[in-house]
Order: sequence, then structure tokens, then C-alpha cells
Amino acid sequence: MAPVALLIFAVLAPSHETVPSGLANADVARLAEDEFRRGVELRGDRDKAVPHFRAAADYFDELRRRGARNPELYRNLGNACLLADDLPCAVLSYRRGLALDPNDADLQAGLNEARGRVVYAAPGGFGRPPDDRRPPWLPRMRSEWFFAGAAVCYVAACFLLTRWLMTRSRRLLASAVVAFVAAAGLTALVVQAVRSEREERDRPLAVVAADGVLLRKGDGLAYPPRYETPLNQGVEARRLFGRDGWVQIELSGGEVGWAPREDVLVDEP
Amino acid sequence: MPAFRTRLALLPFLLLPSGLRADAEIPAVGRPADLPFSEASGDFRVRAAAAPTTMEAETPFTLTLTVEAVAPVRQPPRRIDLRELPAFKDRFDFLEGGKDDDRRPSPQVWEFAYRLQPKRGDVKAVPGVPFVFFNPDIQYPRKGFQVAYTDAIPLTVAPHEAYVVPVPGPPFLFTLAVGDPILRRWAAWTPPGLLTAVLLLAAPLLCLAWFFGRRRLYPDAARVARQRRSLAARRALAALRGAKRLPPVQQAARSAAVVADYLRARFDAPAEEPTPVEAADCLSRAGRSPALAERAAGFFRACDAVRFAPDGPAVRADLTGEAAAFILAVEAETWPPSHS
Repeated sequence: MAPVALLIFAVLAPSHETVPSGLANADVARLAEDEFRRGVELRGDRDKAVPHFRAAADYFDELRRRGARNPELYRNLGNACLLADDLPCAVLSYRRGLALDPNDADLQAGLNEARGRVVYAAPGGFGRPPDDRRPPWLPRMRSEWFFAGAAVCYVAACFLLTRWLMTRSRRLLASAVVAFVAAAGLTALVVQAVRSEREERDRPLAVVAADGVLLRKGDGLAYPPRYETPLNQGVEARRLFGRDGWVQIELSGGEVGWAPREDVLVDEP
Repeated sequence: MPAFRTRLALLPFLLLPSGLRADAEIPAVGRPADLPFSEASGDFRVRAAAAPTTMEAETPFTLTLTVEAVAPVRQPPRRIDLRELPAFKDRFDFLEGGKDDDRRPSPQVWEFAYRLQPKRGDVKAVPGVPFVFFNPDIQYPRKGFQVAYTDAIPLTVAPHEAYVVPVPGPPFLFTLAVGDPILRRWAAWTPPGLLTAVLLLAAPLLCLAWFFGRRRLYPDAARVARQRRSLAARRALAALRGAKRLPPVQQAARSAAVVADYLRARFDAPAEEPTPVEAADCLSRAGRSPALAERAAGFFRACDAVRFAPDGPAVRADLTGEAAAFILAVEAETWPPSHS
């Protein structure tokens, strides 16, 4: 019965502005996968394929709105958005996924592909994301790894110190000191990571969603542009404040300005 | 007579300044609100022509609107903006440049040219153009506004030729993660406060419990360990006891070998018999005092002097006794009485 209902729904509602709330998450996921596969089958004809990728993106986004949150979903959403020519949505999705799993190679590759499609109005660093000089083979450490390492080092240091009290071996004492220092260093990294996450929560990711957006000195069209160079779709920034339909954003190079709210996608739940 | 009457009717009009004539004559009330007014005053006929009438979508063509006066003209027509007509705005895009082709073939005829292009392939005709003018000959001025429509012009619009373009992107973009994994809800990791507190307190407490528990269970553990560590010394001293009766050269060789074995057992000395310098280094690395290290070097130097002197041992030294004393000195420094 459920497949028949899904089929009827898919036929009657080929364009999905909103997804009915009555559908279960598993059904929404199945519809998204079907639309994506149809898009892949039609990939030879862009005009026919793009609406299916757009529909798949809508379904994946509906899952996100319902609370699903994992790297696989964000990778699917990013791919569907990018194939549907929705560059801001793709950049935002890949960044959301990488925030959960910084070592996901597919998400990183997708983000690189999306960034490669962003059109910058002027040469130079204005609006561009900072260069990542990290070697691709080097894994990005996560806070929980630091925490686990600090815990292991701390316990080991306690054990070694106790053993030293029993035997008075200088080697054990030296090992205990090294373990304590390592635990302290790793704890500092955990604190740093938690602070960084808190800062990211206070200043969420923002992606420019329109072409030719000028950063202005104030929250209104009456204010003159702060920079002459316009920003195009896909440029990444951080949202600082919002007021009366305008948001103040900061680019990676530290440039700050106001843009209309409808021209910026903000990473908000 | 009619001509004379017309001239009489025009007389007040001709006496007005030219800029005021039309405004004074054409009333503001009664104009069709939803149609563009041509500002023309008189009586007119209109017709329209399009060329070409067969084309592809989004291909331009020229629409010519011809206005012909059939009565004396009080005010000439002006070019009307077809974009104000929804029937045109929905079907056509307007291109620049048509105005340059406006013509005036005769004093009574005006031709207005428009450059249009159908937006889609489903455009079938150019709709009739409503030409609004004011006819002053109608007795009631409010009823003087007339609308003359041109005939619709059939068009044959073929769909725009489209090139099939594939969706660009590397292969990994076309892959999808499927199944239950995409429905999971990951929570952002935060440092577990309770676990941290337990870890901070539990580890040292457990270690202290271990330390004191072991001390309680094995009060002689330190002494046992010391005895175990002294096994090498006891073996060495036992071996030296039998070497006292040997000739000096053999006694020196035996003493040196026993001390070398002892150092190897205690301090990871080299496998072969150490030189005086190596013996001193071995003790220094093990954290023993410089005096003890020097004593080891002196002992091995003395053994070498007895063993390798060209004319035999010059002095008769008690090398076994010296070896035993050295071993006891090492033990005493390793396990001082205060630590027992």
C-alpha cells in the first residue's frame, strides 16, 4: 500500500515546494533517492535532469528540517544542490557535513568542487576562503580524540607516578612527567576546540545566495557600499548580527558589511 | 458648405496657443484607465502588419502599427507603449530600436514600428492592438474616447532550437548514500562534565588505594625487591671466593670477568669485558657517583696491569678482595640503609 501511495504522490506532485508532513522519514528518503536516481539517468540532458535534482534536494532538506543530522545526509544534499545549480545550498551543506566529520573525503571533494564554481568579481583574496595548506593525507583531529588522549595520558601519568612511589625508578618518574605534560597539552587543545565551536555557534556560517551583492556600511539601501567589489553566489562568510531584514557578515579576510537577509543563506537550525 | 462649417468649428481651436490646444480640448474624464492613450484627437483607422510571421521562439520580428486619419487631425497620435498591455507583455519580449523605424508616409498616416520576439513556442498570434483616441466630433465629450482595434495577426512560432547539454560534474557528485544512515541524528560532541570529574578524582584515588593497599598486603615488598636485586651481587661474591687461591694472572682475569658479569646483570654493561673507561661510563649512566665510577675504572686498570704486563705482575695485589669491596660499595650506594 505504501509504495502505491508514494507512486501516486510522486505522479501528482512532481514539483515539491513543500513536502507533506504526513510522510514518514523513510518515505521522504526513498522519494529523495528516487528523484536523484532519475536525475542521474537523465544527466545527459541538463534541462530534464535539473528538476529531479532540485526535487531530491528539497526532500533531503526536509529530512534535515525534521532533525536528521549526519555527514551522509549533508553529502547527499550538497550533491543534489550542486547538480541542481544551487551553489549556495551546496556550499552550506558541505560545510555543515564537514563540521560533523572533518575527515570525510567526499564532503571535502564536494566543497572543493563547489568552491571552484564560485565566480569572484575581482582577483585577489576578497571573498575567497582561506587557503588550506594542510596536506590532504593528514587527518583533522577532533575534539573527542583530544579528550580521549588527554584522559589516557592522565590515567597513565597517575599509574606511573604510583609505580614510581613503589620502586623509585627514575625512568618511571620521567615517564609520569611526560604523561602529565601530554595530558595538559591535550586538555588545552580540547579547551581551544570547545571555544572555537562556541564561537562558530555565535557567528554562524553565512553563504551569499545572489549575484552582485554589495556589502554596505549600514542596514539599508541608503547606506553606500563599503566595498566596490560585489559578491556572487557561493561566497562564504560569518554572520555577526541581524537587523530589520539585513545581516552583517564578515568575510574570511576580515571585511565586514551589511547585506539584505534574502541574499544570504545562514546556517541556522 | 461643410468645409466652411469645419473651419468655423476649428476657429476657437486655432486661436489657442499651440501647447494648450489639445489639453484644453481633450477632457481628462472618460479616458480608458486600463489602456494606453495615444493622445490623438480626430478620427482614425488603425491596422497592423507583422513581418515575418513564421519564426522560431525568441526570434525578433517587426510589428508595424499604421494609424490613418480619416478626419481633420486636432492632435497627432503618439507612439503607444505596448508593454503596458498585458496581452503583449506576457507573450513577447520588447527589443530596442523599433522606434527608429517610425515613418510618416503621408500627412494623414503614421507608422509605428515595434521590434518584438515571442517568448515561447506556444505564441500563436499577435493580439489586436487597442488604439485609444479622442473624437471631438462626438457631441458628449466624455463619450469621445474611442478604441479602435487592429485585427489579430496569426503567427507560426516554432520551438526554439535547443542543444542538449549534459549535467557537468565529476563522477563522485552523482553518487548517493542510501538507507538508514542518512536518517541518523548526530549530536554535537561536548566534553562530558561528569566523566571528566570522575576521571580527575578516580584515577589518583585508585592509584593511592593501590599504593597503600600494596604496602599493607606486602609490607616486606621493598626488602624482597632489594634482595632480588642483590642476587647478582651474592653470585658474584660467591664466585670470587674460589678465585683467591689462583695465580695472580688467572686471579686478575677471573676477578675482572666476575665484576664484568655483575655489571652486566645490574647495569646493562656491554656483552664483552668492558674497558676501564666503559666500566666507568656504565656506572655514570646508571646514576652512580663519580667516585664509584672511578673506582670501577681503577679496578679494571689494575686487572689489566697484572694480566698484560710484559715481565709478569710487578706487584702482588689482592684483586679478588678489591673486586668484592667494589661490589659491596655498589650495593651500598644502590640500597642505602635509610631506604630499607
